Parts: sequence; structure tokens; C-alpha cells
Amino acid sequence: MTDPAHLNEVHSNTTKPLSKKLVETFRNAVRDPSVAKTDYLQRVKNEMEAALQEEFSDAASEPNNP
Amino acid sequence: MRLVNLTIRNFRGFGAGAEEISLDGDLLLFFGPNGFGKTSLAEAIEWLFYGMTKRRQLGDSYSRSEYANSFANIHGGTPTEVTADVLIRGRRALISRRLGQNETSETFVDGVAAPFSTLGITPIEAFYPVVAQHGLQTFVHSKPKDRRDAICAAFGLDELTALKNTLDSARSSFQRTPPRAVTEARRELAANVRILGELNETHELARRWQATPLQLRLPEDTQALLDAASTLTGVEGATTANALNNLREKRLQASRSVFDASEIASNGGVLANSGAALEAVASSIMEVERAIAAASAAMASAYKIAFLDLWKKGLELSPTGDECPMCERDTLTADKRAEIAKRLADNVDRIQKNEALEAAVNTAKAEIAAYHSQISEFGVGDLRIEDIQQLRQLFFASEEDVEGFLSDFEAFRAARQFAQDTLAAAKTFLDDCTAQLEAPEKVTSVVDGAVRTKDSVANMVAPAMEAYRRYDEVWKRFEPKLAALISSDEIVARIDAVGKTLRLEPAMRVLRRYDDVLEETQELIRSVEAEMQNRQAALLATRGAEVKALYDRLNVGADVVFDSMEPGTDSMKLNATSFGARMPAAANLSECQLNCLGLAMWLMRATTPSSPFGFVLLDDPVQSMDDDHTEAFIADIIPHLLDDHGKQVIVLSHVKRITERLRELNAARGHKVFHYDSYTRGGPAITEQIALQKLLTEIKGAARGNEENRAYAVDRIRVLTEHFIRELHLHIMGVPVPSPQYDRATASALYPLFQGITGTTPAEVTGLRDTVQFCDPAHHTQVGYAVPTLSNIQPHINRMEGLMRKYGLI
Repeated sequence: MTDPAHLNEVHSNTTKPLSKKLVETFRNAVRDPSVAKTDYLQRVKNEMEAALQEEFSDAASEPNNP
Repeated sequence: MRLVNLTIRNFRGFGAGAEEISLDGDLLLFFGPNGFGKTSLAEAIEWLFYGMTKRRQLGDSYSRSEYANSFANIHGGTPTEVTADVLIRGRRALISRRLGQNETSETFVDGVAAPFSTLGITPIEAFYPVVAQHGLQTFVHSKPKDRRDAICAAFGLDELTALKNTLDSARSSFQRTPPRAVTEARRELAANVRILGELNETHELARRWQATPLQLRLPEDTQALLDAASTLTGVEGATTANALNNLREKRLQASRSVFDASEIASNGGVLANSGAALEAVASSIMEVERAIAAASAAMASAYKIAFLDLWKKGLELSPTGDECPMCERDTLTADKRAEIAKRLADNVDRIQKNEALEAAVNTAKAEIAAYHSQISEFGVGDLRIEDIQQLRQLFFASEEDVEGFLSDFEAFRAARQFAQDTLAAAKTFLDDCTAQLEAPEKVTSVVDGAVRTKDSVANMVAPAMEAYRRYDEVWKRFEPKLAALISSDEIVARIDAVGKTLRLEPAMRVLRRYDDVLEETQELIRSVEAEMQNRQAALLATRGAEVKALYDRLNVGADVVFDSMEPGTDSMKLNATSFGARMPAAANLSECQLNCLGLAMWLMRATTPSSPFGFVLLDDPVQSMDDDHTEAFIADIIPHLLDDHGKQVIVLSHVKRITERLRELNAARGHKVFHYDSYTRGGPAITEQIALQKLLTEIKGAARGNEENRAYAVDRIRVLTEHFIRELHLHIMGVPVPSPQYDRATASALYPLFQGITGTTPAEVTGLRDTVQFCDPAHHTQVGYAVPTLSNIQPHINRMEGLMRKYGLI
């Protein structure tokens, strides 16, 4: 049977912040009946883009010319 | 959870004329020819619980548009709905699913919108209770990865499978369509690769940065750029900041060797202040002119201003006593002092005017100096002949540009010179005017000079400022062209390329982060895969063994058999053995064996101990099986499901013999047999093969009713004769009527078989023929046919009852 423990354990064992966030995002989506399967991918990809955006914002806030 | 009743309305092959099908039994057998809607019934149950069907999922993967809206019956009745009366944990519940807009659906429990999970029914892949013939080999003949996914779903690892697939897809999408910040960073970094490729230190970097996608290596690439900067400048720059400073200085030198633009560069930022300064100069000169006019008017007395000054100072030096400070004699008497004081008092106006003039002159000089200081910040020098030659060489390909600029520069230079000359003349006048004013004969020329100076300065201000402003515009247009030509110099271009790239550190950081995100996601995918494999291996040891056991039940004593499932990275191999030698199962087992393997897989899922489904539905499961395997399925698998797992078993088949055999073997169990009698626009006509005694009783009651009831009784006698012949054949001859030729046979067609059944008499044959003809619907449409009365029907009832009693069927 589908055992929620499998995914929960993967989430617990994941330590890197982005990886943990990705697993968490997927888990929230897959267990929310109102979320369509086609949206899982987009939600995970959004998190990946957000992780990049953080770096981009940091970079933009620093002067280009040291 | 077991099914008790089922109603299908406007779903797939079922139309609006829904009739409740009673499924209250352990074994439900449905017989019907192909195309009569058996699979629609299987799919109705599948859709009821899952909101989807395996067939539709597969179809959507082929052509979404072709399979769209295929749940609803084609004839358009509404609503599309499947309802089941179920028995779950000792209580009855009415559950239904209704199709909505865009093929969404809503579930109801006892008439109230609610998910089935409120009853503890969790419809997940690992419990799938519907085994469809068309899906048996889907698992076997699928890609190893899809097969692995199917196994994971069967083992309840589908969340992990979905996680891995989602991560895979998201990562691919992130890689295939990177965010704008990444494409922008790549574009920026790639802008200078051609020149960077010319430098030893950055040659390798340039090669990778030209690849698609750009391959960044940090900190290696930054170090390569720093090394290139060191080589270009001849100075070690340990940090990016140092290197950039060194490059800036080196560029200045290098660009000056091409052309020193600093001499002709303008600073438009000072124009406003310069204009104000020049206005101040003009204004102060006007003050001087006014002061000169006032001073000259005060020159009426005969005393020179020098004398007046001398006397004033003398009185200050010797305020008492008679000694004159000039001649040192007692000449400064009280009378003399009084006379001098009177002279001074009489000339106080002239003194004041002269002081005012000196102040105005000093102010004007200061304003001129301030203007010079201000305008020097504008920063434009002169062009030497060699400078002009250098410019013409640089612009040899665009002569118009340089000649236009030189013409404008000359105009500016002339205007500037005019302004400088005017101010120089003004300054000379200011230097001399007060002294000249002492000589009465020069007063007139001083006054005239003041007016001329004032006018010349006033007339110079506007054109001068316009010349500065215009040059600033000309320079702004010319400078980029000049800079581009300077930058095209090899050394300057290399310095620019390295410097600009070093300044792109933020873009490099964005790309590094992008690579890190991809790498981390890849690592996560690998770890999820490893986790899945570990769990899969553990489950294969238990649930995989169940598949093998079910397969072996269907293949007793075979030497070429399915052997095991072997998990791999992103795959699942199916192994078989042929007389002990291992080989891939999908490629080598027969269709029949593969069907057995597929069936075993599905049954393992359907018999998962924690499944809420207390039933298993098998839709034509033995289509490609030979007799031995079919018999193993009928005689071993079905009882195994019924007895070992306590399942309610529903079998749909187009083979009458299978239905009969199952009925025969399970006569002692609670079972029901259904026939698909016909298929019309309204859907399949499914009738339960009810017991002969029950049918006879029903006929007797109907025969005593009105005309409509009696017509029904006649039709039921027709059904009774068909069942009677089939039952008698099985009962006396030990086998069902021959299949498939008699599977759909009517009473008229079955009647000759009656003659061949051991023990039947000629009188019985004749009598049964009479009854068959009496009930034949073909006669009922003839002109003059009237529904028989009870007295006409009764002999046939008596005949059938007598025959059934004689042969022990009731």
C-alpha cells in the first residue's frame, strides 16, 4: 500500500536546505487533493527558481565594480 | 468492502435506461459476446473508485483529444453516474460518482458530497481491484523504467516514484528552459569569449564558455581572469579589486598611446556653474562702469584724490600739536588743521565714490578669476597638429565623422578664444582704470572704456556659453565613436575583455548557483532512487514472492517460466528461466505465460492485505491462455481468491464455457450468473440467470395476470426453455453446450441439442418443439397474433415443469 512513512522518512533524512524544501513542496502538493498532478512539477520548479533568485538578489545588491 | 448493488447511468456503453444489477454474492459471473458492454461495466467500477480508468490513462498518453470526453455515453444522456450499494465494516453505504464539467467528477456518500476516504476507502494504485485483460501485459511490455514505476506503485512506493519522476521532470525543465537571470548571465559572460580565447590564460575558459550550455568553473575561471589581468598589466593582482585597478591604469596608458582623448573631453556637468560665473562677471563689470561714472562726477573739486588721502592720513598721524609729519616743522597749526579738515569734509563724497570704485574693480577681478577657475573644469584643451593627424588616421574609414567633429571643435575653440580675449581686455581695463581716473584729462576716456568693456563682456556671455554647450553635445556624439576605435586596438580590447569579465562576478555567481541547484537536485534524485531501490528490494522479497507464487499456480510443472524481478537503477528487469538457464522474460516467454505474469502482478495488488477493496474484478482475464492455463485459473486461482483471501470475485467473460465451468465448480458457493442478452442504443441488456424453479414460479404468476403480464409470461417461457436445455445438457451430458457456436443460441437453435441428450423421448422432443414455437418472438409479430390466454399458456407451463421434475432440475 502507499505508505506515507516512505516519503516522510525521505524528508526527515534530507539535510540540505534546498533538497528539503523540494521534498517538502512535493509532499504538500501530493497530499493535497485539490492540487492537480500536473502542478507538482511546476511547484517544485518554482522552488528551484526561488533558490536561484535568492542568489540573484544577493548578487544584484552588491556593487558590480569592486 | 463488498459490492451489493450497482447502477450505471450514461457511462461508456451504458445509456440512460439504468437498471440496478444485484451483485450480492461471492462469485458474480458475467457472460456476454464481445462488443456487448462487459468492459463498460468493469470500467464503471474502476471509475467509481478511482475517477479514472487504466484504459483512459493509456489512451490519453496516445492522443488526449481522441480520448477526451469518453466517459460519458455517446448518446448524451445525463447525468453520467455510477452508484454502488456497498457493504463496508458491517454497514451498508450508497456511494456514487457523478461526472462534471471538463471530465471532473464528484463523489457522494449516502447522497452527500464526500470523498470515499470518509468510509476508509483509499483508492490507491497498490490496491487496484480491477484486472483488465487489455492491461495484463502493459506492465510486462513496458519500458524498464515504467515497469519499475508500476512495481513501486504496486508496492505502495508510488509517492517516492512520483517524487523522483517530478524531480526528474522539474530538473530537466529547469535545465532546458533556464530562468531569465541565467540566460542573461550566460549572454553577458559569452560576450567577450572571442578575445578571451586569444589569451593563454583564458583560452580554456573561453572554450568552455562558448559551449552550449556555458560551462563555468569557479574559482578556476576567476583565477584565469586574474592571471590574464596580471599578464596584461605586468602587475600581480591578488584580488579582483586590485586587478581591476591595475587594468584601469593600464587601459588609460594603452588608450592614450592610441589617442589621448582627455585633452578634448568635455565635462558638461560644470556648464551651469560656468554660465552663472560668467553672468556674475558681466554683472560686476556693470558695477564697475557705474562706479566709474559716479567717481568721475565727484571730481569737481581741484584736489586730487592722492592729496586728500595724504591729508587724511596726516590728520590721523598728528591729531594734536603743530608738527607736520611731512616737513617736521610747527606748520600744522590749529588753523591749518581746521582748514585741512574742512577740505576733507568738502571732498568726502569723492572719497567715498573712489572707495566704491575700488571695491567694484576688485569684485570684478575676483569674478573673472572665479570664472576662469570654473571654466577650467570644463576640461577641453587644444588639438595639436599631430593630434589632428592621429584622429584622421583613426577615423580613416569614416572621414565625415572626424571632419565634422574638427569643424565643430574649431568653432568652439574660436568662441572660447574670443571669450578669453574679451575677459583679458576687461582685466587690463580694470587694472588701470582707477589710476587713470586721477588725471582729469583722462576721465572721459576712462568713462568710455568702462562702457565699452561692459558692452563687450555683456555681448560675449551668451555666445560663449552657447559655444560651450554646443561643444558638449558634439563631444557626447563623438566620444562613443572615438572610444570604439580606441577599444578596437588589440591591447585595449584585451584589457577591456578581461576587465569587463572580471566585473561580471555577479553573473558568474548566478550561474554557479544555477549549477549548484542542478547538482543538488541530481543528488537528491539519486538519493531518492537509492531509497526506492532499498525499499523495493525489501518488498520484492515478500510481495515479489507472492507474484511468483501466483504465477506458479497458473504454470504448474512448466520448465520455461518466469523466475524473478530484478531491480536496477531506474529499471526493473523481469527474468525467466528455460530449463534452468536465465533469460529476459518479456523477450522470451510466450504470450500465454506473459499474460499469466501480468495477471499475477495485478492479483498481488488486488490481494494486498490492507486493501479496503473486498472484491476483485477480472475482465476477460484468460483470453490468450490455452486450456491448461485457463483451467488453472478457473480451478485454482478463483478458489484461492475466494477462500484464501475472502474476496468477492467478479468475472466477465465472452466465453460461455468459462462461465459455465466456474458456475459448475462453485455451485456450492453464493454465486450469480448474468447474461448480456443484447446491446442496444440504450446500453447492454443484462439479465440474471436465475434458478429454474424461481423462473417457473415467476411465469405461473405472470400467466394469471393481464394481457401485458401474460405476454411477459410467454417471453419468460422462452428464457426458461433456453436455460432448461443448457442445464439439462450440463446435468446429463456432464459438459456445457458446445462453445462458442451455442454461446448466444436461442431456444430454437438449442432445441436440436435436446434431441441428442441421453434419455430424452420422442414425445418430449415433439412437445418441447411445440413450446419453443409457442414462445418464438418471430410468431408474435405475425398478423392476427393475440396474446395467449391462461388456458393457452398453462399446458406449456405444465410441460416444462414436468420435464424439469423428471430430470431432477427442480
